[in-house]
Amino acid sequence: MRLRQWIVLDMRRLFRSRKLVAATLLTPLVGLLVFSSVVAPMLLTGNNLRVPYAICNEDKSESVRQFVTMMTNSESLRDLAAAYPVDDLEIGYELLQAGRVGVLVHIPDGFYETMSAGRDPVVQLIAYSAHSFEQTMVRITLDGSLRAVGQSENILQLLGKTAVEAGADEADIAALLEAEFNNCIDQYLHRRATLGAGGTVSPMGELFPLEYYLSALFSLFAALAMLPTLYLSASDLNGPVCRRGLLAAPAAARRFYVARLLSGATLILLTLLLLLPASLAIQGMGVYWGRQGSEWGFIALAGALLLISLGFSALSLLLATLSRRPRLALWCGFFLILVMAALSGALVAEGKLPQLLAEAGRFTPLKPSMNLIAGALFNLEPARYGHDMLRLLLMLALFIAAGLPLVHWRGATR
Amino acid sequence: MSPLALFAGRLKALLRDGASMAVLLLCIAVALGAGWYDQQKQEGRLTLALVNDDQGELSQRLVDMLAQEEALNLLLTDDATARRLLLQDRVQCEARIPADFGERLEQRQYQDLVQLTVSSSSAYAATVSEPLVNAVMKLWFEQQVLYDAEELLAAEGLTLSAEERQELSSEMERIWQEGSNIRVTSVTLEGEALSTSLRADPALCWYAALVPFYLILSCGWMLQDGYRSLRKRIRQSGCPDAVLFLSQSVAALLLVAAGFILTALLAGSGSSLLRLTPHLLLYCLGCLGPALILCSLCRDFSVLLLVAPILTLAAAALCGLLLPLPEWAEIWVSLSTALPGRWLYAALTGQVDLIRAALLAALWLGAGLLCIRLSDREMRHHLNRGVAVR
Repeated sequence: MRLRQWIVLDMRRLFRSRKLVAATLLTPLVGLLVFSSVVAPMLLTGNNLRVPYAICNEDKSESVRQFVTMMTNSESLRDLAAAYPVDDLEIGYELLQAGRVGVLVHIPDGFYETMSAGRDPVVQLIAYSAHSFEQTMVRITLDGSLRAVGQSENILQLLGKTAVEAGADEADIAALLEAEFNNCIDQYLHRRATLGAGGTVSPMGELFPLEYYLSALFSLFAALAMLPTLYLSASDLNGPVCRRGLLAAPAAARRFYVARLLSGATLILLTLLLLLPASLAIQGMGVYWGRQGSEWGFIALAGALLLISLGFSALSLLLATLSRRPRLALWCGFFLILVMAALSGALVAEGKLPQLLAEAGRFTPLKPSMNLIAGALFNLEPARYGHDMLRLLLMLALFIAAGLPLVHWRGATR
Repeated sequence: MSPLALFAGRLKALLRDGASMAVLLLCIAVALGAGWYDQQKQEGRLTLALVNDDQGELSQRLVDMLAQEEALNLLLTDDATARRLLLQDRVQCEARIPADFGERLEQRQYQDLVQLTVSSSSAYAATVSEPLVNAVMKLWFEQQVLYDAEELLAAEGLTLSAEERQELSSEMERIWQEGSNIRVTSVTLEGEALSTSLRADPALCWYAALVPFYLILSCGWMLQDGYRSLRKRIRQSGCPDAVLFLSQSVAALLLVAAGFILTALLAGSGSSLLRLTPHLLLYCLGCLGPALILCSLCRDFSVLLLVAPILTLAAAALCGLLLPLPEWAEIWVSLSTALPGRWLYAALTGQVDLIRAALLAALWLGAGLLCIRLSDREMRHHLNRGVAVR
């Protein structure tokens, strides 16, 4: 058979099943839909794991009521926990026992009076030991805030005393202290402005995790899409194609190899097609999360996708030659994908892996694929892109160099 | 052929199938790993990695203030180490005091005094950064009031001497260090809450999230060569289709339940086993429906292996089994009520609704069996057409 005939036959066999084509196109779409509508917004807005806590304020004074409202709606506590005000302690205990809240905050009666009298009022954080972590979280937030406010008042009193001793007018001092106190409360409400956001560290080591997850997702799609080709090749190498002697001649085996490499790559490329419109959309945004998009991004991505597809297709052919049973080859491929995903940081963040395993991940085609997709989509650095392309090209050469002689051999020893 | 014989045969086949057993064991291992990791996080102290690029007095005071926080573990380190620890989730966030921190504070600048970097997986960055914010606030407040007091005195033709200023600063520092006039104490209650499952056990969540993949693969017998002849023989023996599929699936359900019990026992959630096992079984029955649909649609094991992991993870994400769905994702929250995983997640978090879960499981299972029947009809039609053409 000629090369063109092999290619036509392969394409027919691979794409004969409309279900396979639909699965190849739709599965990434489902993954992308869930990712873009649930996971990505959660990454952007931070985790939404709020600890529910009950707050029982037995002190009915206006100042304490105001302070409690201020605290429960403060930026840090609001992000962290959801407050449920309760009228008495008993209801709070009931909620605790029923597991409806993790912590009960108890402000006792006479709290303000105790503080005004110069004694130390106590706020209790009550929880079962199973919720001690949540108790610590609320304590860190509440303790620091309460102390900061109490101590600020002490500082103002000290300042007033010093100014009086220095001979300043008492009315002016009283006006200053009042203004300072109001200013203090105002600034305290916006206290998180003191922090400049350095960003979110992604498991890939960059400052934004979205690109990491997106590239990991599509690299995994590409790797999984090599399974149908792997199964088909293993079936051919252990079935009639080989037994009838169609691969006995080296030239015939070579043609079979090239045709399967191309048809497999075409199938893998289908799963990655969604990236092309995604790339155009990102380019259209101009500036993407503080980074400059590159006008070469689309071309770079197209080149990368082509090489990624060829790389995984060649890997599937190599695996197919190594197994005597198609189903076993399929399973080997699947578990290899899992191992590659774990080592290259697609399943477990690279930073959490031991150094040796993380290094080993660099020698799988999944890692450069992730880097290439992330780079081409978000932040094209020619040197890094070139490096990853070269790495993937070397792997492709290696897979072909190992796979092709094995196909020859399997064809000759039918 | 009796249903019992079908069940026994299938169970034997599943136990002999090393690859699919490896998948089930992997589900258990990943679930236990996730549970262990979460426990480590829960038990670990909240740690802030601090990088101090400013050698001035004010930044040193900020470091001292943070070091005094009892509930917070402060780690003074360099940027590269802090970033590495952050990536490994060993610290909750990294704060960097820039070189001009003291200078900007003396000018009473308020915004962006410290750079905060958090990990994408850290849920506690807001908590850990709170003492930092408070400490910076205190220093800023000190500079502000000192400046305003000096302005006031200057307006009245008075000044503070260097000694007085020094004394005032020392006194302020003493006030910050001596604690407040409001004390927060933690009280730990004896015993256990009736329901401590505000947070679902991560090990059980992960197991439930991954196990549909195994269930899908366990229906792979439908894609094997002997499937048609088995159906024919069963039909000839007068056994209904539904009995065939259910008796075949019960074998997989048994293994999944065994895996669940093992996971729960090893993860230390043995006490909730009795309560949760019926929910898991309903969940698995519900998952069998989509598994049968998928198998009857794919007709090729390699396609099944391509589609199943992605659909399993997507469904788990939508049900909240992988990560709790946020309040704003209302559409998904509503849509996920049609997924069996949603009701298992509800049961894991103590919000039991057995009737709806059972109803949904029955619906999915019915849909699965119906899909097989339709697929059979389509297949017969194709075969007949093939014979007619020949």
